[in-house]
Amino acid sequence: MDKEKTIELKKILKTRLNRPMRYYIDTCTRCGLCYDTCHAFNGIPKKEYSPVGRAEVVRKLYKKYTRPGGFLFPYWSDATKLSDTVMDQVYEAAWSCTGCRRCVVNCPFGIDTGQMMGVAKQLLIANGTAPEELVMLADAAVEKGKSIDQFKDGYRNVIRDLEKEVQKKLNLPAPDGLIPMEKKDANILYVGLAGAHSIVNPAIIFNAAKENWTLSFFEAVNFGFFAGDPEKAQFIAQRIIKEATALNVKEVVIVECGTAFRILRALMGKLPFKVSSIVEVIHRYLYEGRIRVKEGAVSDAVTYHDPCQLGRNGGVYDEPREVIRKIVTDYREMSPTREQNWCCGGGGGLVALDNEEFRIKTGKPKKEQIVATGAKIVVTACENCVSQLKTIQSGYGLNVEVKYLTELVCENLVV
Amino acid sequence: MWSKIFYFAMVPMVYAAFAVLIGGLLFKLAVVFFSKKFPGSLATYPKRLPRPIGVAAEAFAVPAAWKKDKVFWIFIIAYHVAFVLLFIGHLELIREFRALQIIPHDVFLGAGSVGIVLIITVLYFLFRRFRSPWREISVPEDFLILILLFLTMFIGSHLHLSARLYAGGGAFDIPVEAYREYLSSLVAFKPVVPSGIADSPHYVLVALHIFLANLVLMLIPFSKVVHMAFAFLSLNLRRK
Repeated sequence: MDKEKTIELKKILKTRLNRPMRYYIDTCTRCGLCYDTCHAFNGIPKKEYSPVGRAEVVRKLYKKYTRPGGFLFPYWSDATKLSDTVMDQVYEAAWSCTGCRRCVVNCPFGIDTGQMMGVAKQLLIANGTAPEELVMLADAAVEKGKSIDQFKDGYRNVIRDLEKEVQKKLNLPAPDGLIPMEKKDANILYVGLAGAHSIVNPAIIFNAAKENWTLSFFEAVNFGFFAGDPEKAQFIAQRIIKEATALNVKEVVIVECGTAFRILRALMGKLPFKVSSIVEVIHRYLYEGRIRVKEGAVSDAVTYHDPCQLGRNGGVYDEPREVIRKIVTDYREMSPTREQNWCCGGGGGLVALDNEEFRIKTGKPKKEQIVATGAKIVVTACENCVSQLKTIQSGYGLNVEVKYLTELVCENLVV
Repeated sequence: MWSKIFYFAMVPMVYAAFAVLIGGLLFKLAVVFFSKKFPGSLATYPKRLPRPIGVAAEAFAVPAAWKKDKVFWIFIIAYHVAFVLLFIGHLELIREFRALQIIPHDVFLGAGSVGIVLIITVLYFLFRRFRSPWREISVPEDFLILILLFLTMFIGSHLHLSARLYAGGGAFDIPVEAYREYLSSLVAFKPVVPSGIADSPHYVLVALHIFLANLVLMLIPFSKVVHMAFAFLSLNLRRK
């Protein structure tokens, strides 16, 4: 590694040394309680895939460059210099972590390995060894944010086609205005994804609930965050915040995407509008009587997979369960569940990478959980989780169907 | 020559150790409080208890260890409880604190059991690190701190037990009064090493005990032992 690169990487280490990072670097006692709390370690039992093993890769760099002890006596704390070999270790650590934060709830000090892996990912970008797919997707999202006017007409045409699907489902006479866009003072700005399902199903629900809503021009997914680029992550999130502020909406509702939800709800500081997940909104409509579902319509055994960013990191546990219980007669809880639920292995941008074999192996604890429930349908509320659960399903030959929560609701909506 | 070395360990080095400990902790905390805050929330859910109670419960009861490894939890709790008693015991070696004598007891607390518990727990923590997977995640610093703690506690415990065995004037009895004279003189910045200590055949062990304890104190702010302060802060982040 050349001198200039080392200087650049050291600068990143120092700029990212914020208050939480200082705690995380100095507090870990390497007690090992987190060791097997990671799904990746359970699938592939290597030290490098344990939370402490990952965190130590970054911690040792910090010790070397920001701690006098690490500088003077590197042997004692195993402080390591930046090198190509170390950057390979950084890659292995960062890109095996989904940021599910299961290790955080199992650490006696609450050390957030996900945050440390955020630093690792930024180091990889600067080193030029970050996964290209994600960097390109982040760049595309940034470009769209800069020149949104060029995209608007094309997007409106796509949405007109989707309105027909909404019309068909709701048996309405005309499709016009079923997916409103750029509507000022709406109650809700809904932020979907690129896939039609992420717009059609929520649109059916919003129309059934007679909601005053509007659709965002942007996708909720934040590839800047996945890639580990804080500037791009900020820009991508700000596109939605600016749009919501300009439209003067009361609430921004995020598609079934755990990370997008957490970024806007928890990581962007105080916002002038409420941020909700579509799951919470469906629950609200059901309990306010604004929509109705065919109660007990599904007799197959159903289980729910808590997306980590929605459950453990977002606190949305009860709403999806209550919605599902209204529709199904045989609901089965996974074990362990809620904050101890196993990550599926697809989060943190991993599902967008060419790493299927790795994801199948690290999806082992999730596979075992699903099999143990005996469920025929696995419901979840996150795009990444659905993709990964389908990979697990095909990888292990499971006889289960994977569904979005919105899909289950729409299939059983009383119209 | 040796008396000068002993005096150095028992007087100037003690002041240096406390200066490094207090200065180091204050420096660390100042750096933390002047560093950039995280703009969002790093909370995990559910938050079962109000923030301060939740943080205290997690810091003092260590439920994460209880859920995962009950034997380890027992050793963690035993070690930390014994450490608090050790701290109280050393306070009472400076002077009598009436508040601490609400339940009347001998000085040093615990009739020797505190030191024994500390030695056993430290040995457990140490030998645990020789087994997989802890061996793979340990760094030399982890062993160094535990070895230092073991040696300090072993000698301290030996001094206490022999004083109890020879209480009332035996050869190896260093009476509480001698420690009080020494420690209170340090606190008053008029240091003396009284003859009760200096003339004892155990003088070398007292000096060694204090020398090792000085090293431990100086290591605290610059090692993972700083978790004694940072644990509360990082646990607080998880509930914000």
